[in-house]
Amino acid sequence: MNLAELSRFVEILRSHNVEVIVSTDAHKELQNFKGNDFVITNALSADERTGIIFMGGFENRKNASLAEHHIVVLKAEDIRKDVISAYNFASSKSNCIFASSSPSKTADIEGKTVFGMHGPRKLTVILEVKEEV
Amino acid sequence: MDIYEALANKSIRNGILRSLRNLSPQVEKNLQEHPYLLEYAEELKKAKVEVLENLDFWIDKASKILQAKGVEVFYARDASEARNIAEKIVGANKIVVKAKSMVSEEIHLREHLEKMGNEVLETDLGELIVQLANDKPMHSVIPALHYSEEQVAEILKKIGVNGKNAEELAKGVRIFMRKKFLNADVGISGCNALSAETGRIFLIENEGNIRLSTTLPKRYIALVGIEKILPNDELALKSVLVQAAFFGTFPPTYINVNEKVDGQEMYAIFIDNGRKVTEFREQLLCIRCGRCQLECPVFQNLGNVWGGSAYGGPMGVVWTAITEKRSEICFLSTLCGKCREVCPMKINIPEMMRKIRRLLKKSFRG
Ligand code: SF4
Repeated sequence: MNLAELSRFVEILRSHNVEVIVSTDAHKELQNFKGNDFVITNALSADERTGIIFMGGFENRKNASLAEHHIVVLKAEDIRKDVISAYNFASSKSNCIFASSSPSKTADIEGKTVFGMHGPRKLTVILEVKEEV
Repeated sequence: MDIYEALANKSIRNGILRSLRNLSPQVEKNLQEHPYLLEYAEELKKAKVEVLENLDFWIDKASKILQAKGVEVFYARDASEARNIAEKIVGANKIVVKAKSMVSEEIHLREHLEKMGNEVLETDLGELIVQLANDKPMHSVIPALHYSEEQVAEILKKIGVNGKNAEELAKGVRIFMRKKFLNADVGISGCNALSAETGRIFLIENEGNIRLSTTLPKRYIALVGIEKILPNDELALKSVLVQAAFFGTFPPTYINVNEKVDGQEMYAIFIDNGRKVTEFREQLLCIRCGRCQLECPVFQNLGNVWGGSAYGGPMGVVWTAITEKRSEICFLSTLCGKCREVCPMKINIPEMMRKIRRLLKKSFRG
């Protein structure tokens, strides 16, 4: 993935109200999150064109569904060119695949968007890259 | 509510037109930014046509793979059989959390399980509003589009939720519902697409209620309309993506790929209810995006009041003919053809409306 593609991907995530942190050291970034209202999941893959992020495992799904703040660590090398490749890549690594693309939301009352309906109010993606960008 | 009352009820029209204004440009944008979705739709249609031509084979294949994974599989020929199967699995005096599902509306499952002494909660916000108001969904994806913020505030007081605006009301419902999720004995969902390759059930949503309803309870029931079977995961994924894009919210916030896991009992109930023998097989291609409803000039005035006990609008007239054998409502259609034009599966609803009319006329003549 080149720099332009990477920035486009970040732009897509941000347009979905996702907080994005680009870093060469995800572990270090995670130290900055204090408190106990967040859940961390390692992503299996993501789709470059839609910003859909695939994760796997039943326990991960359970924890992610209950979290107030969901933090996802995604390696840039796991981003795929299309959603089908991203899904296939994820399901080659895990069962019980689930995907998120934004914080939980609803527009059921007069079409007004409200975040944090039943799932996480906030979604943060720590995008781990190999070199400084 | 009858159609005259619906015509006089401005909130139905206002709600539908507001949804149309919000979603229609989004659909255009989704297809412009992701043109490959049109290819997915074509591919999906082709696969669905093939599955429908050989439905018994695919039901058998899907059942076997589900069973091999440890899922208990049932086949319900009609709504009453489906209710009885679900009742046996659920039992009595349970807390049941339900994800929004049109097929469960079709078989009137909630009412039935409530009669058996269960506390059954719709977990999608719109569907919960409709449940508390003792109403029926006004649209297949946006069930409560006909209620104003003020009306919703009034309705939600029934469960002790108070608030002045959408933000406060949603927050209150989140707190109320979280306790229910954590204490639920059974979770029930529909199925947007089922892969016969892996037995995986694909479900999309934005709120997170489906994820909670199908993950937290120890017992999970998936209601699967038999037309939801697709040959593999790839097509199932394409199906839910096309559904989301043509509804207007793309990408969906969540994609859930549910399957049997350790520590959770899982049941799948295949629901036939008129599908296998229908003369209107083309309607089974429907992926329930709800677009034909919002775009229809008759639906814009009447909402789901124009329909049967579950499905309304253009798609709903044909679905009602399939599942309820009720068809007199077809005469309200103007046959303008807008539904066909906007449908991702290009289903020829006007032609089926004409056919229903012909059959009805024939039956009148004897
Ligand atoms: S008939 Fe077509 S437009 Fe209408 S809900 Fe079904 S798939 Fe969507």
